[in-house]
Amino acid sequence: MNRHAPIPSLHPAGGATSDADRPVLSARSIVYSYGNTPALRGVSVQVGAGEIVAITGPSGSGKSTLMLCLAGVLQPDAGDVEFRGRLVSDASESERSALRRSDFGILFQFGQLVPELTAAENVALPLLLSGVKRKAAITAATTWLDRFGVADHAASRPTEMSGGQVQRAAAARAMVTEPSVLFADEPTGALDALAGEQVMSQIVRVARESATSVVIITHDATVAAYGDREVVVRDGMIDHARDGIGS
Amino acid sequence: MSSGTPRHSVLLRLALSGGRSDRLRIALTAVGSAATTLLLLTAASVVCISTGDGPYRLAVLDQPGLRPGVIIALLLLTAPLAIFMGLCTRVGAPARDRRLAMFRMAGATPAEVTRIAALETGLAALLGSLFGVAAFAVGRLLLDRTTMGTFMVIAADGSKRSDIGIVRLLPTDVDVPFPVIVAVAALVTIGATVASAVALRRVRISAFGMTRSVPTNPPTKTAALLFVVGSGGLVGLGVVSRSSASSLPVLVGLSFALFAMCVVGLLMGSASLSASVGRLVAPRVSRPDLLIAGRRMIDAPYTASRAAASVVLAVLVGGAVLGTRANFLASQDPSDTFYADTFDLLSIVLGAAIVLSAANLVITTSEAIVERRRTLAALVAGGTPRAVLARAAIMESLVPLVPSVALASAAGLLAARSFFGTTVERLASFDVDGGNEFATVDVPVPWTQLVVLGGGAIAISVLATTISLVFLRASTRPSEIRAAA
Amino acid sequence: MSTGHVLMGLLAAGGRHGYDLKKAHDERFVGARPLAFGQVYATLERLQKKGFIEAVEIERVDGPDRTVYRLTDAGRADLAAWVGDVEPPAPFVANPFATKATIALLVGDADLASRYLRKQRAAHLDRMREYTRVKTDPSTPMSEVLAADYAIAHLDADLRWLETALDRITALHHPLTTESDDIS
Ligand SMILES: Nc1ncnc2c1ncn2[C@@H]1O[C@H](COP(=O)(O)OP(=O)(O)OP(=O)(O)O)[C@@H](O)[C@H]1O
Ligand SMILES: [Mg+2]
Repeated sequence: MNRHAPIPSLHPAGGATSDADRPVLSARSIVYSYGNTPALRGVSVQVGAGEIVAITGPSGSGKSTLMLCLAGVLQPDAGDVEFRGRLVSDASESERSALRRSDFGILFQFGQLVPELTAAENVALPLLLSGVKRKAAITAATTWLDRFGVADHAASRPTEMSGGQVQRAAAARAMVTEPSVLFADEPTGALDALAGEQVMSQIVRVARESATSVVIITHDATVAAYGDREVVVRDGMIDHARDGIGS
Repeated sequence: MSSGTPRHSVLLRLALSGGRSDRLRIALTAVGSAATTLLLLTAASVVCISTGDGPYRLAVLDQPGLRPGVIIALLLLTAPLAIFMGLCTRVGAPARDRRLAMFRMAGATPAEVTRIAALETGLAALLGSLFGVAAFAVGRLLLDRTTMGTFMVIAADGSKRSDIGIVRLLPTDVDVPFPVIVAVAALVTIGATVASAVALRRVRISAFGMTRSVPTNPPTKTAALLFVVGSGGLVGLGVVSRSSASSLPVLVGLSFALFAMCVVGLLMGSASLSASVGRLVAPRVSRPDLLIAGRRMIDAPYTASRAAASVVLAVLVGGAVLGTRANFLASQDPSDTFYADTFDLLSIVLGAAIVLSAANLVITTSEAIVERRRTLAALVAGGTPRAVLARAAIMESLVPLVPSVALASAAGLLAARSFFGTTVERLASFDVDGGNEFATVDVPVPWTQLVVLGGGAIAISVLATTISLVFLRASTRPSEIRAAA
Repeated sequence: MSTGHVLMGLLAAGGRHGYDLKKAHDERFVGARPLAFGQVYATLERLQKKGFIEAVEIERVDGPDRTVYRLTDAGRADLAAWVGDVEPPAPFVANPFATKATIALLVGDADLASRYLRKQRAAHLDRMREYTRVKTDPSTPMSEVLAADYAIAHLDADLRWLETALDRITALHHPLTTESDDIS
């Protein structure tokens, strides 16, 4: 019943198993329930270095839950998540929090920037958390805002920016620590087509430049098309047939 | 569209159809009005003490001349309670506003929507004050204790003498007339209802959400001016009143006005103080917790200061009481405990006021956390330690509180010392022939008590803020990331 | 879609000969079916008869003679009218996927149909990735970005239909047992 077979990685097996070929992140048979509601029923996924994976599937299929488990926000009830050979799913809460701070970037649909802080301060926040001095952190933040094309708004509050600008600042915050993996849950869900395109193309460009792996959750095929590969989730399981590889 | 006027049973059902935060608001409103009713009834029973009642162990209750002080102290205590109830209307406000906006969309008129909300508060307040009346009746029976003690007897010729006998601790033998009880319960209920209707006017529920007034820059100049003129005036008045023999009523009236200026200045100023401290801190710090706290202090200076205001008010009065107490005790023979007892009672009342004010802090801080749960949950998901957010919340309410408390206790003390003087005449030797000798003694500054007052107020506020942090864990769960606003 | 108006549009900027027009068309309308030379010359002849274009000169560049055409005033007016006209929304949309899925259901079963739809879906998504890559490349000229947008929008519409069709056929095959009460 449960299909536990791992998804074939983009990188064909059989080649030299160098570091670049090994997945950065891999989940094996993870199970997660909210109380009595099963959300994930044995999911295995791998994300290669610099790979952009789109996770799609109908509403309520468990995409967000899968992402939160991969990012070490939620702890799966069974199965494990491995990041660069380290078991994330067994780590303590503070270890996972530190991992998310240093190696992962997370982007949500909206409402993640602190409304009282300026865009630059928001982007600098992860650096300040890891002890970088204010001046250096703000300088780095401004550079990242520039890479996402919103350096003009460094001193603006999120409430003074458009939805697309806010998302780009949020993407800058997710990338400021130069994470290995960027997670994005419906990053363009609240934006119109053009604003969404700007956000997505900038995320993809920056991720490619810095060889960051990206996991994008979306139910929009035009967003999934930014990915190298699609993983379809259905009823808490990977629908291997649906991604076109399994059939 | 609704046809005709909806029946009140329908309004009632709508008024009570809210969620968890609405139930919390209703419960807190009921608790607040119960406490207010209890307090007012206690004040009423002091008012109703007549010649047949007593004697009481505490002179402030026993002697008619001292009772107004007790009554005023009890009435002052209703101030933090009123603030508490005002804050209660803010609990779960965003959710409630959305619910009310939905009623509008479903065709309710603005007046009907206001009625629904007022009805909710009114019912809760009525329930609470009935409970308060019951608690008063029960308390009267349970606390009716007598002990042996000294009391003052006034003879027919007006002379006073001490006597020893059975005394009551509290005026539990006084009968408060039934109409007074009804009036108190009605007053509390109507007051709460009207206040909630007024508070809702600010929300001006439209069918498409709300247009809530955005706080403007808090007043700085006016506040500072009021405070400086008020406290300066008090000092000046103290000097004038001791050097010249001006008429007492004018003096008392003037000093009350100046004191009120101090109070208003300090209350208005605490928001602006919060914003100024934030402006000083936020653009400079490298600490993320201080950065968040500082920016919040600039953007939402009223959030913390609204609750902190009642702490500050209590400390201001407390400073004045401590100053007065030092003065009175210095003029009195240390073996006589009359003043000491009286001031101890006052201290208990003040302590209660500070604790109540801290309860207000719990509400505002929890609200600030719950309202921002989406952002906080996203931050935690991104790896921000909860401890950082917790420290930010504590700093946000405490950083502006510390200077306010310092200013308030200093101003209160200063007012008392200037009004009653820094020296007193104490009876040095008592001669039966009438040749009493007086010695001039310096009134000591009650440093220890001041530190206890200020430090205690801050410690209780820290405790209150820490209590509200229990909401932080629930508010930063990953499922809150999808929470609406 | 009127080839005549397209050619007239390309002539609006200045005179061109037939070969030039075909090249301009194919470069500008990426993703559209390339024009056949025969079609170009037939259309130009028709337009000339109607008086919408006129031959102005004959160019000879180490090859065959090439007639250069120019838009007449009548042609310009007709073109303006056409640009302002609304295209009728197509009442009968060709849907080869639906036809194929229906035939698959007829000759085979739901599995056969859904296998086909899945492959079609994967192919569509692959094509969409290509267009997305083209679209987001900063060096892509605007005309190609617009063409890519159009293609993506159409592929997206197809994908949505494929997705729904798959869900319907799957539901037909294994009726959904429990639908969780999700309100996300
Ligand atoms: N906090 C929660 N408590 C209870 N059940 C939950 C909770 N969050 C999610 N679920 C349930 O878990 C399942 C998976 O939810 P999830 O949010 O992962 O879906 P999704 O694929 O991201 O959906 P969407 O596209 O709508 O965002 C759903 O059935 C949902 O109802
Ligand atoms: Mg989701």
